[in-house]
Order: sequence, then structure tokens, then C-alpha cells
Amino acid sequence: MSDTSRESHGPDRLRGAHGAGWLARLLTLATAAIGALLVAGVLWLLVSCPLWWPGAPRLPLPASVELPAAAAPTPDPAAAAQLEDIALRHLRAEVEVRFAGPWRQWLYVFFALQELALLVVALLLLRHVVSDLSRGNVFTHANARRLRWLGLVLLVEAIYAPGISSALSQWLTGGLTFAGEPLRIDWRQSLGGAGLASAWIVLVLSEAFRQGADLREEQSLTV
Amino acid sequence: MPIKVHLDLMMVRRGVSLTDLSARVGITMANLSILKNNKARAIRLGTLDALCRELDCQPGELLEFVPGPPEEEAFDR
Repeated sequence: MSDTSRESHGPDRLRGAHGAGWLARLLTLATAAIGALLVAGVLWLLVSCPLWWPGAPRLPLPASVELPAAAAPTPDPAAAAQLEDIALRHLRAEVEVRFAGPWRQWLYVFFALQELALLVVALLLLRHVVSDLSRGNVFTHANARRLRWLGLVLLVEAIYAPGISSALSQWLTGGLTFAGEPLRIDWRQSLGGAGLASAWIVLVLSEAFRQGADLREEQSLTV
Repeated sequence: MPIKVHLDLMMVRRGVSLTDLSARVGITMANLSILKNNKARAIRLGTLDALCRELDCQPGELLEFVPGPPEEEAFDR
């Protein structure tokens, strides 16, 4: 049968398009799970006000405290025998806080929930793309736009978490000291190169999808 | 589209139905219908070759250029 027998109108039937159904289901599951987490977080936010819950749990902060040399522990002699010299210069600590006023607590949790919300948005965008992938009709301008938005969301999330939330934490705990040493919010713990790289990869893919959509339009209605 | 396809005219002249032509050239009736109704945006040389062979005609008998402003192509952007 000649090449011209292939139908050119309607969605292109990509080989293996039906095989993407498992991906769509997995994404649905992930979106539902994170959405449930988000709802639980909002509910927790509402009930955890210290005004009516004095025992509200402490919140973790990505912080570190520089221990003064005098307070730094010294290594055991036996363990240090194989080393010529050793010094503890910087010790990180997991810091948990319970803010005095409810608004500080809410503000912190609110910004933490925003990160979850960004993730839900990202998954919802991806679900649409995977859904079209299952139908063998993935190269459309709508999907190119979705991937562009997804890349921007990932970019915001990669910068937002170490930037805004850490700055907020620093502001909320401003002036706090331990043994005379200031509490420093360690934003580098949250900064992930993988997040930034993923964002750029998705943005590049969105442009590839846009060109794919253009090619598909050229090919459609070609007899 | 300034290019008009006179497929229906040639089919009548040769006494060929859409079904027969579809079977002979190996193009689906849906696509032939698109071509016949001047809805096609492009035509492959292989398709043109198959049509001319089955309808025993020249490309110039199937295609005609009608001067005028090009129709706007609707993209599903």
C-alpha cells in the first residue's frame, strides 16, 4: 500500500501512543496524593493556631549555628591518632521553632504550602500533556504552552524555596543568637541544581513541542 | 486557496467513482474527499502521480491556478 494511503486528517496515530496510559494514571495518583497533602496542610494551618492549641508542634527551619571554638567538641584521642590535625569549624544543627504569635506560625506554614501548591500546578499541567500523549496527539500549540508554563513554575519553585522562604525564616527569627553566635538560615541546604536544570530542560522541550506543532500543522490536510 | 482541484470533473469524465478511485490509488476516501472539496492544504507528488496514472490525465488537468488573494489558513493555536 502506498504511503499516500495513510490518513492525514485527524490526530496523528503515533506508534505506542496507547502505552502512555500508565504514565497518565501514575500522574493522576501523584497529583491526588500531593493535593491531599495540600488540603491536609491547609487544615493543619487552621487548627494549629497557638491561640487554641498551645501545644502546636515546632516547625523546622533550614538553619545553622556557628559554634564558637571554645564550645566545639574535641575528637577522642584514639580516633584522632591517624590524623595529624583536625578541627571542627562549623556545626550545622536542625532547628525547630514554635513562634510566639499565631501570625508568624501561619505565615511560615502558608509559604511552605505555596511550594506544595506550585507542585500541584506543575503536575496538573503535566497530566494534560500526558493525556494527549495517550491519545497520540501530543504535538499541539496548547501542549507547548503548558510545557512553557511548567518550566516557569519549576523555575520559580527552584528559586523560591531557598530564596523567599529562607529570607522569611531569617526575618521571623531575626536577632536570635546561641551562645553569642547568631542563628543563620542556611539557604544553601534548599538550593538544588537539579530543580534549576529540570526547569531549563522543560523550557527547551516546550520550544521543541512548539516546532513539532508547526510541523504537524504543515503535515495535516496534506493528501 | 488559489489552486483549484478538478478531481470531481476528471472522475466524471473517466466515469470513475470515489470508491473505485480510492481503491485504485490507495488513498482513503476521506482524503480523496478532502482533495475533491478543495480542503487540502498540500498534495504529495506521489498522490498526484497516482491520480494522473489512474485518471489518465496531466497534472494541469487536475490542478488550476485561479489568481486572487490567498485564503487565510486557520491554525488551531
